[in-house]
This record gives sequence, C-alpha cells and structure tokens, in this order.
Amino acid sequence: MAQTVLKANNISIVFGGLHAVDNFSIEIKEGELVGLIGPNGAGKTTVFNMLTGVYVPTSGTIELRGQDVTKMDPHSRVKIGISRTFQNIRLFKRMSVLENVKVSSNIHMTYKIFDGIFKTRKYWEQEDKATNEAMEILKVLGLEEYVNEQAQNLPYGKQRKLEIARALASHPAILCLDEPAAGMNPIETEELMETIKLVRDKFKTAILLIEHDMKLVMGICEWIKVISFGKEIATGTPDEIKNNKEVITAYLGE
Amino acid sequence: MAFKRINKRNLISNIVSIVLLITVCIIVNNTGNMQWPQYISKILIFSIAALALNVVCGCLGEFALGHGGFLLIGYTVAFLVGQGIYGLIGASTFKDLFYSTREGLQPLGYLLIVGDSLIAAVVTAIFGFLVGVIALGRLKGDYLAIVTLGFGLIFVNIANNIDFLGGTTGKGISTKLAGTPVLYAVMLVITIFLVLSFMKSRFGRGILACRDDNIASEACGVPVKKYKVLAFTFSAFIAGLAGGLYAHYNTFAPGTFGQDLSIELLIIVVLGGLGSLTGSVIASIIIVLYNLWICSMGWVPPFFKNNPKIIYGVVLVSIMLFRSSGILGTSEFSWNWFYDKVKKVWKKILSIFKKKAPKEVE
Amino acid sequence: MDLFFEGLKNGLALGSAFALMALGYSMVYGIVKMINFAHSEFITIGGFVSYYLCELLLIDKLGNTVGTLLICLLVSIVVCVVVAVITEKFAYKPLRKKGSSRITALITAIGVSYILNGILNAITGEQLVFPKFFDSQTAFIITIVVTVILLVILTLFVKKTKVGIAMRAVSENENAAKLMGINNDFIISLTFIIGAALAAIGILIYLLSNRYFRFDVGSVVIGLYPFVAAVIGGIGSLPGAVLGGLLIGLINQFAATYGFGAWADFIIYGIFVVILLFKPAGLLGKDVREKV
Repeated sequence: MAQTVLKANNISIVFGGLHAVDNFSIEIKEGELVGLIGPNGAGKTTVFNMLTGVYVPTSGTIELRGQDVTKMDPHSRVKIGISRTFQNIRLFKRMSVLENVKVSSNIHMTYKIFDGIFKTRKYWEQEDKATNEAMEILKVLGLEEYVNEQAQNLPYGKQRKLEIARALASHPAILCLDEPAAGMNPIETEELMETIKLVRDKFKTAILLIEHDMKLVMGICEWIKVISFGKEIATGTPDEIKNNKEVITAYLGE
Repeated sequence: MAFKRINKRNLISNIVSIVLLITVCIIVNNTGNMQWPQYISKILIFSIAALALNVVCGCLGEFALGHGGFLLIGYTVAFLVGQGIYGLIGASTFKDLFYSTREGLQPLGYLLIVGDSLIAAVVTAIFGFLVGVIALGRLKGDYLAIVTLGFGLIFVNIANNIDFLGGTTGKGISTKLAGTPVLYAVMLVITIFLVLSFMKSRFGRGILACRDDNIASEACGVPVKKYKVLAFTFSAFIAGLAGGLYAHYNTFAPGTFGQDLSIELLIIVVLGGLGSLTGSVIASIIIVLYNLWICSMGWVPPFFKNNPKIIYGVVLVSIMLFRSSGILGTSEFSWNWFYDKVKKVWKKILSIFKKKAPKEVE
Repeated sequence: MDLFFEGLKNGLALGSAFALMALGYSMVYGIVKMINFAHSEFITIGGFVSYYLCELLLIDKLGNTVGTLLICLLVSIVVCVVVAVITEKFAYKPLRKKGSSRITALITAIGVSYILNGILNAITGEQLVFPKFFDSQTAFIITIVVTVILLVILTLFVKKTKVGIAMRAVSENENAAKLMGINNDFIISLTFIIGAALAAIGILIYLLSNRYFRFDVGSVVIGLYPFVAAVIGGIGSLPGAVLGGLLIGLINQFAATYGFGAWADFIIYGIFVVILLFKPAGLLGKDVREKV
C-alpha cells in the first residue's frame, strides 16, 4: 500500500474572530493527484498557506511524511518534502531561469561558506549536480531554450511553468499548485494538464492543486475535496463531485 | 578539476590588470608628490566600504543607513589593537620592526596592518551579526533603514563620549603606521574577489532570491532570516575591514563616522548602480575625487568651494531623475564584454580602411 | 524636584516643536512612502524667514509683539509652502511618474536637502540669535496650546473632511484611489503643503525657547529627531507623531537636565530601536501583513 505523504488533522485558523478554515482534514498518499476546489473566498489558499507553513493553524496538526510539522517554518518543511507555487506568480524576477531553479537545490547542498568562496572540489561537485538536475527539469517542462533569460522576460505561460520547475528542484514528495491555470486560455490550459500529468509520472510526486478551471480539475484529479466558507462539504471522485447536490448549491446557490 | 573552467584569456587579463593597478600605485607612491598617494588610498578604502554596503543594498535589497557605524567599529578596533601593540613593545622596537621613516613601511608593517584590519573585520562582523539578528527578523524596508541608522548613531555616540575610544576630538589617535596605496589596492582586489565569489555560491544565490521575493524564497527552502543575517554579517565584515584600513590612513574624530558617511556610502552605491560592484568602485572614484577637488584644490569657483553640497545635490538629483539605475545599473564589467567591444571597435577601424579600397561585389 | 519640573517643562516645549515637525514627516511618509529628508531644510528655511523678517523689518516698527510673530508665522508658512511645492513638482513628481524605486526617491530627497542646505549656508553660516518675545513661562504655555489646537484641527481635517478622507484613501492604496476619481497629484501636493506649513510653525515654536541657531538647525541640531518621533509613534498616525515628538523632547531634556546631555542620542536611538523591535509599526501604528 502507498505511504501517506501529507496528513492534516482538523486544522482550523481564526483571523480576528473569522473562522477562515474550520476543521479541515485531508490525507494524501504517494503519487496521488488531488484537487481542492471551492467558490471564491472559500479558504483554499489559506489551507495551502497552513500546509506549507506561511500560517500556523490555530488548532489541529499537520504531518508531512510522518513528521509533525504544524509549527515548522516554511523553509524547513521544504526540506522534508513539500513545495508549492503561487496564485500570483512569484518568481525571482531578476535572476536567470536556471538560477531560479537552482535556488531550490540549495537544500540539497552542504558546502560551507569557505567552499563557496574558494570554489573547492565540493563546491563544483554540488553545483554541477544541481545544474544538471535543473537542466533536466527545465527540459521536461520545455524551458531549456530560456535557460539564461531573466525570469521576468518570459511569457506568462512559461513563467507558470518555471514556477513548477522551481518547485520540483527541491525533490518534493508533494507538490502544491495554487491555481496553475489562472489567466491561461483553453489551449494553454490543455497543455498545462499534460504537463501536470507528465510531472507526476516523471518525478513520482504527489500533487495537490487548487483550481477554478473545472475542466482541468475534473480531467486530471483522481479525487477531489470541496470546501465552502472554510468548511469541507464533499470528497470524492470527479464523477461523484459533479453530481453532489451540496457542491452544486455551493457554486450556484439555491 | 576546478581549473578547467577558468577561461585562460580572462585569467590573464585579470592578472595583467591587477599588476597594472599595483604598478600605478607604486609609481604614484614614489613620485614624491604628497597628495596623490593619499587621494588614491582614500578612493581604494571607500571602494571597499562601498562594496560592503552594496552587499546589503544591491544584493540583499535592503537599505542600510548605518554602515558609517560599522566603519567606526572597525576603525576603533584596529586603532586599539595597534595602540596596544605599540604600548606593549615600546616605541623604538615598534619602529624597528614595522616602520622606518626613510623606507616607510617594512614588510612586517604591512603584515601588521593587514592583521590588524582583519581583527577589526571579525569584531565588526560580530556586531553586524548582532544588529542583523536584532533588526532583520522583524523589520524591512524603510524601517530597517532607520533602525540601522539608529544603530550607527548609537555607535558614534558611544565613541564620542568615551575618551578612550576617541572622544569628540579624536585626540591623540594615531596608529603610528601609515598604509600605502599598494596595500590598499591589494586589499581592494581581495575584497572584490571575496564578494564576487561569495555571490556566486549558493549563499549568494539565496541572498539574491531574498532580494526578489522573501515569501517565494522561503517556499523554495531558503531560510530567509538566516540568509539576511548572513548578508548583513558579511557586509559588516568588509565594512570593518575598510574601517580597519582607514585607521591606518588617517586620524579621526568619531563624529565623522556619523550619518554623513553612511549616507555618502549609500550615495556611492546608488550612483554606481545597485548590485553592480564595478559601479561601486567607479562611483567611489568619482565621489572621493569630487570631494577632494572641492576641499583641497585651487581651481574651484569660490562660491562652490564654500558650499560644496550644492553641486553635490544638483548632481544627485539629476542622476536620479535621468538615470535612476545609476551609472552601470546592475551590469558588471566582464572581460567578455570588454573583448567584444574591442573587437567591434577594431572592425570599425578596419572598415574605415577598407572603404578606401575598391568595393568587393557582395 | 525643581530639576525634574525644569526637565519636564523644557521637554514638553521641545517635544511640542518636534511633534509639529513629526506630523509633517508622518503625513508625507504616509502618502508617498518616502522619508522626505528635505523636510529638515524646510524647517531651517522657516527659521531663516522668521529671523530675517524680525531683524530687517518688524522689530523696528512693531517691537517684540504678538503681531510681529503672527506676521513672521504667515510669511514663513508661505515661503516654506512655496519651496515645498517647487521641490515636489520638480524633484519628486517626475520620479513618481516614472515609477522609480523607493531608494531613488530617498537619494533624491537627500540631494534636494543638500541643495537647500547649501543655499542656506551661502546666505549665512553665522550663528543667529532669534529675538526674545516671551519669558519662558509664556513661551511654554503658547507652545502647548498651539500644538494641541493644531493636532485637533488636523485630526478633524483628516477624519471628517472630504479632502482628508481622500488623503487617507491615497495613503492606503494609491491606484485604487485614482480609480475612484481622486486627484492623486493634488492630494500629494496638499500633503507636502501641510507638512511644510507645520515645519514653519514648528521651527517658530522651537525658536521661542531655543534662540541660538544656524543654517544647520534643521539638518544637524534637530536632525532626524522629528522623523524618529514619527516612526516611534507610528507612521500615518497623527496622535502617534505627537506622542513620539513629546517622548523624544522629554528624553532629550531630561538627559540634559540630569547631566547626560552627551548621551541623549544613545538613549533616544536605543529606546527607538527597542520600541520598533517590539512594535514594528510604532506605538500607535497598525501592523500590516503581506498577503500570499
């Protein structure tokens, strides 16, 4: 049986009296492709922020590969195996595409400041390894021709892909994608669906994605969780969700 | 294995330019002119200090207005150590070992200045680390700038009030050794190497990532606070080095290391281009020479001689209005760029000659 | 105990002057997010104008009367406002239009401050003595009353009037305010105008109790204290600026009365650092967190 990668037990968060997320639980196993959907303002991104460590939940616990990470810093969680992309793209704009990806390799490098300054053998070994890996990831995502371009000069769709590439370079056990198809046209979305599947198969990582584009979510997710006003209202396969009354009410109203 | 990657042409170019720089310094030092060695020394020391600030402002992307304070710490430490050694071994032995009036610095004297400055750099780095830990965790942007300024003023205030550290007049401060331009040039080259090399490592990459986006860096596994403190400490180290070297250049009163120096350094860094080391060096040359021209040379219109800040202000404002990214922006001098330019110019010269010859059929 | 009251009185007087200057810094920073280093020169300009008016024209004709002071006040406000508007138009506005970075704005402000300071220095580098108008008791009372009245007026203006609300909107979100039909440029100019007027009033009040001054009164003697006061109180908060100003004035004067005058900087900046570490947005400021 596949191992559990990420597990959230009844996490809640309160912002000044507002229950942004209330008793949310989820369990994701190795290699699964899971969708998290819900109307605007339902608390999806807040869930992401708790899972990745930007916010600390008011109550409940989060386990990552069997380790309790509820109160851990975002950067330490990355080391254990979670990485993410952002709804509004957050690339390192003035760095090159390759450097963007290599930033994420940092957690696998161990050389010290001395090695870094005097360029010892250790430095070259680790840097070379990171460069090769980054190139491989970029190739899979079709970005190899932009390697030395500044990130801010990439077209929008490529920037989205670069964010995924960057998130992959830390070898995550689970990859969280926050609205990867936001602002894309149908053709680009189609292409993105292929990319996501490819990433899952190639890098053997579980994927949790927030998305508004129902076609994308229904098309690739194995199972889906729906939240509304901070509360979970349904869980199931795409077909089950499509026919769930509560979900339809939440989206369309009574 | 590591040597494979070094481009032979660039390596040779580096060595040639360093040798040239040092030769110039030696020549200047031996012309008998009293002024120019001083000017060049000051330019070189300011360049080092500006590089230090550039690590924080250009690479980390946070403003620090308190680097004058770090220079002051470096200065004071170097002074105290130098003074201590002087007191310990006595004047005559000190002179025999390090310094003879006729020949200037002896080899051991150079070593003393370098060692002294390194101690100063380490102590300053500790202070930088503390300031970083205290301030960087919670503050950023303008607030951080103001707090660093506050720290700078605190350091100055302490030094101003304790005679042992200099007092308001800086009375009696002299480390008994005067550095030469050659020494400062070598230290500048070493500093440039240190900064460039540091920025090319995973630490430098993490710092650049923090500059562009804190939240994304954190999400990529970069410990943002730690790297910010690291950048700050590294910067303080180099500022302390500059301060230590400055102690062997001039006597001072701590007050001169106040806000004005901090701001002057910031101006140099912005003028040269945030993040461009080459720019910092070029801007140091310009600013230091400008100040020296205003203060010490004869052919200045009297109005400006009395009010040096007016031109300074006009130049600053116009540069900010018309070229806000500074002289070099973020670009760096590189030999590849240099040789490309040389080739282009060469081709142009050739084409001028070719035009005189009958045109070939295309 | 006498010593204590002496310190308290002087501290409150100095603090009130700082408070008025701090209000200017705080409002400008709140709107354009820039430390207006030139503000300290506005302060000095106000002092120069008042001084020369007194010396050249008024004292001979009107004597040391309130009338003289009022004329000084009005004229120095006008001059400060004109300088501020010119500065804003020619130095800051073009930068804003280009969308330059904050550090560019900061350096420009420093540049403007250098130019103004150089001009003031060129006018005279001598020590000037402002004429004596009141005994210290009366000066103290006037100082306090003026500060309180101004704070009340300003608060009402910002909270209740249409322009004041527009001002707050611009400070919150410049682009959204523009889309709502607010004339940003006008609001920004107005903020500079108010700041400069407060600087003129502030320096006049300062000169009532501290009569000796030079061209560097704004940039060195008063220096960054008002700005630090604004930050301590919380940028954008009017009562905060006054609180910060009073705090710094009190510390400064108590230190002087009890013989620690030389350590005033150390104490003030020490407290400043500590306050910011525990309340990064200042004593009365609001903490804003970046959204992901």
